[in-house]
Amino acid sequence: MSLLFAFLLILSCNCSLLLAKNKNISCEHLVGRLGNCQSHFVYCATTKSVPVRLCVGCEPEYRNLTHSYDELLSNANCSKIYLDSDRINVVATTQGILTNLWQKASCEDCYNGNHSEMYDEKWVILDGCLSANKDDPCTACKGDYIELNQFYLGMEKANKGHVCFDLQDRMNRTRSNWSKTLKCCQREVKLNTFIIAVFVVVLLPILTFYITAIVLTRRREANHGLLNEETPELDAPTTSALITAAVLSTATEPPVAMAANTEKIARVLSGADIDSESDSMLDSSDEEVLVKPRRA
Amino acid sequence: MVDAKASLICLDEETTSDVEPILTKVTKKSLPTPTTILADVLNNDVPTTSTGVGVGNNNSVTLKRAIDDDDVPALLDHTPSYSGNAINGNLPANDRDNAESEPIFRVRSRTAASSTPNYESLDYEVCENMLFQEEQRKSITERFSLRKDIIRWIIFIQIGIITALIACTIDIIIEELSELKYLFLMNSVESNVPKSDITGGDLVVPFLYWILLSVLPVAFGAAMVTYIEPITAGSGIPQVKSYLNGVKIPRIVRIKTLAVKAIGVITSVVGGLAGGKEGPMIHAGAVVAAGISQGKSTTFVKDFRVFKAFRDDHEKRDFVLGGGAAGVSAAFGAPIGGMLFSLEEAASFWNQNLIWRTLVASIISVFTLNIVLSTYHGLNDFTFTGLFNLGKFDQPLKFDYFELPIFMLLGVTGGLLGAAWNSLNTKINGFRKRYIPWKFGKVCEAVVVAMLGVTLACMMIYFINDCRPLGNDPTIHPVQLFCEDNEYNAVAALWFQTPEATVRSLFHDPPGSHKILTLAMFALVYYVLSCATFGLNVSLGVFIPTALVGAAWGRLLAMVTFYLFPETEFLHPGKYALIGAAANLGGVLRMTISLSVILMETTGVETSFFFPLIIALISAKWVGDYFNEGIYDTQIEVNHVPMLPWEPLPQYKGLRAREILSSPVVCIKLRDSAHYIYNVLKKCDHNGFPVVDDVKGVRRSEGRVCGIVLRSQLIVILLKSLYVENSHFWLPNTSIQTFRDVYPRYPSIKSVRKLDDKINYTVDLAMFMNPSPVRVNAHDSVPRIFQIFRALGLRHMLVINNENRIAGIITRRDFIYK
Repeated sequence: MSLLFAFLLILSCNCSLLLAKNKNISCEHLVGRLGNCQSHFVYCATTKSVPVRLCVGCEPEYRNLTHSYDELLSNANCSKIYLDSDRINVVATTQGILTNLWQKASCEDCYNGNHSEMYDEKWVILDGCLSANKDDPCTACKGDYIELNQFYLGMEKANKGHVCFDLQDRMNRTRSNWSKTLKCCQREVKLNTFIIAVFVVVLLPILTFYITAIVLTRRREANHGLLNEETPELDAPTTSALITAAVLSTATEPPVAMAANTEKIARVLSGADIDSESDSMLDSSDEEVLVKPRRA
Repeated sequence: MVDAKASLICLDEETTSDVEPILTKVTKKSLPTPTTILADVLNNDVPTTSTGVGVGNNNSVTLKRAIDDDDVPALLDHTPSYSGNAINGNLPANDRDNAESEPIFRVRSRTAASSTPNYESLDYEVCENMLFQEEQRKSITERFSLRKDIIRWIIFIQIGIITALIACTIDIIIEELSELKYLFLMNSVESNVPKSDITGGDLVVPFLYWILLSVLPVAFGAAMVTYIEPITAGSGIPQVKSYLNGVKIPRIVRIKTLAVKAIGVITSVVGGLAGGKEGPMIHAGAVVAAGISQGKSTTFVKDFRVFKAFRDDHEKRDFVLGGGAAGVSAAFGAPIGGMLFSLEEAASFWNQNLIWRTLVASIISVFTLNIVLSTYHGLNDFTFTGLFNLGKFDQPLKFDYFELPIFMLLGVTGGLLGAAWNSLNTKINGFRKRYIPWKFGKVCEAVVVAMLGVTLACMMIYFINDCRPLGNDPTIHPVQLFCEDNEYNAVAALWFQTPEATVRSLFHDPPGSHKILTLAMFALVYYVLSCATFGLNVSLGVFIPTALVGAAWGRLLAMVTFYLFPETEFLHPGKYALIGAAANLGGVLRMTISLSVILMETTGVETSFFFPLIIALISAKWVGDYFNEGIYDTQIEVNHVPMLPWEPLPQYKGLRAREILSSPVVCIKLRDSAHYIYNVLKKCDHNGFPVVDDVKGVRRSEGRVCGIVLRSQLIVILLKSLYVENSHFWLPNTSIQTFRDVYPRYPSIKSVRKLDDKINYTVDLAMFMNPSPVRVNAHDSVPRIFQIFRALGLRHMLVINNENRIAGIITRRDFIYK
């Protein structure tokens, strides 16, 4: 019985030792694999940097990389050893840099849906067209180019600007090639109508407005001196008061009309006073209606 | 003659005392000859005019008044509403009992501030009469004061929240409408670019669209401002500043003003004028504060019967202070800047508690703003700070020691440019005042300036070919125009957005986003445009255009230096844009404390970068102050607002009280006849009347001072018939509340019925007058009096002689040197 117990004890000890040894080995192994994957990915990304083929060209490398990193993480002991181990935290940092590169290029977008393939198709068509029509690419391939461009713009709109960077780069190159190398983008600076419009719609009203304002003011202020001569005052009023006075005085009717008006009112009123019959009251009220607008 | 009569009738029918002085001025000044004719005709020919024409009782009063005026023309014609001053030359002549005994009246000419009598002061002095003291005594037993304090806190919190909500509304509407407008214009530009094959259109189409989309909102806004509420024109900061200083600006804190201001600022920013929305927001905050704290709206004739204890100028001013601070905080996302703004603008009347409440209101305002805008922008945390957050710099701004002189140089440039801007703007506004006084002309001018702006912008976009590769900088809606296929037009990117967004892109765009020519033209055009825009009859602030011009030339300077010395490494264009903006703001606004704190808060720069900002600001202010004053002060001065400066003017140094006082003073006896009071109120529009006793005969203006009574109190007394003879009717239920109920629109004397049967009644003022007015001796020095006046926010100050007899009166106007 005791023998059996001793045996069991030894076995368990052995086992735990073995287990520990196993674990150590596999952690080192896992890290080694991760390092390998990282270096492959870095090599791939760097070699395919211009023109950018990161997303399409390095996909298997990236998948391996994430896979081995996940393996390392899933092992509780290993992740304890290699992650949060010290201040520099090498493994997590290098991994972070590489993942960040992938995310910054919006690479996952290339593998969502099939727009990447559709774009490729259209690009191939345009490329074929360009190489077929070396002498006059602009007219021959214009339709293809516009189609590709429209497709790209639509994609950009749908993804809110985060298009897979491979496609972005390819589009930029295509556009650059199209407009700079082939000189097919022919936008013309034709601004004759615009200049005419500026003169007619803007300058003319502005000048008219200010000239009118100045002329009107000058005319209004022509009464300035006149007013001063008429009523010499010891305490000269301010300019603004004079202007208001001038406005009011120009607005009123000439003295003759005013006198006539006064007379009219007086006549009407005295008339109303003299005969107090209802008929003439009506009359006078009629007259008043006539007078009223002038007063206002 | 006909005209004159009409306007006089107008004057008589006017019920609010706010508008009265302006009208008075216009009619009285223009009248000398017509009045004579009128008087003659009516005296000689038709004695029964009033019934015959059918205007009614009003008319006869008017005519009599006109005749009275005619008797003493020289005095009344030029100093109509001399608040509190003795220019009632016509009073003794008509008063039946003191015709010959009064001394000779004279008009003081040292401070002949006769040009603009249309401003009155606010009554900041708490009138501690017997009714008030009674209430105070009651509050001690009821522990009422505690409740009042809590209510005050609640009001401040409400002010913060509501101001922020209004700010959000304005901001979101502007953002959405501008986005729509500029997207439409960009698409129009893109589809109308001429191409070598015939597919393209003509670029005149987007130009015309742009003009249309600018002119329509601007015309609408300008028409609203001009025809509905002219006080809303401009930024609103000068008005709020004057209000806090103690000047009564008519209609400044009404709900209608708020509505017009909000719509006005939305239309003019959407219309693309060179202006921002921060000034109007401060004004909006002030209106909100004044409205909430009163618990009633006179416009909607609605009294909520709450907050009755706060219905006087003194309490209202404190709330307006908080409202202004909340407005600044909401506009800039800078709570401390907001609090300091109110401290800087109204610092003569603050106490510790008030500033603490103001700070809390500001912080609550910013917090509310954050919640609403974050939700609106779909963020989960409250990270959207402020409407005018200039954006946080990505990496910390660093500077080397040899850059400090450069910053100072930028500050000097900002001071020079700012002073030039101020003087040019004043000239332009002088031109406007003289040549375009018509309302329709003002609307037209706003439209014309809008068109000018659009044209200049469009010409820059079309003629400067500044193409940048796509994708390097965060341009959300690139316009290609004449550029190659993977490029965009940097000029269009600058113009096709609101000015604030442009400031942000100037601060944060990476180096090399623009050509030198682009920025130089942009700075120049915007400098001229903002100068022409400020002073138009639209509600717009001046902060953002000023910051924008500064950012443009600051960035330009960095780019030019880099072009000349390509090996230099310290030339971060965003940093120089920030310093340029600070320098330009310092040069134009000349605010010191609040401006620097606002800049620090809105850009979130490190504490170490405060020093360069301060250097730029301070050198800009010093250089600018050498030439002229800040734009807000200039505006206040141009409008002849009687603001009290920090120090008495040098002309007043060494003077004595008797050299500036006005005398004799219209006084009221402690127990005086209702008829006399009625006549005094009718004849002169002063606001405060010393209450005297020990009067020999009718020589009231030599009596012994025992208090002061306000015009509004006298009118309430007459309206409610608070006479000695019938005191048993009203005495039990009359309290200080009787007087607060009519605040803030006190009825005018014209609303008091004639005292037909009560003509011999007596008024005992002992209960109503303020028994402790501020009195000074006639020998006291003027600078000393000024200190008292400003520190206490007084409206009237009685000058007495050695026997405590009234020697004269000093009002705010006596300190305004003309």
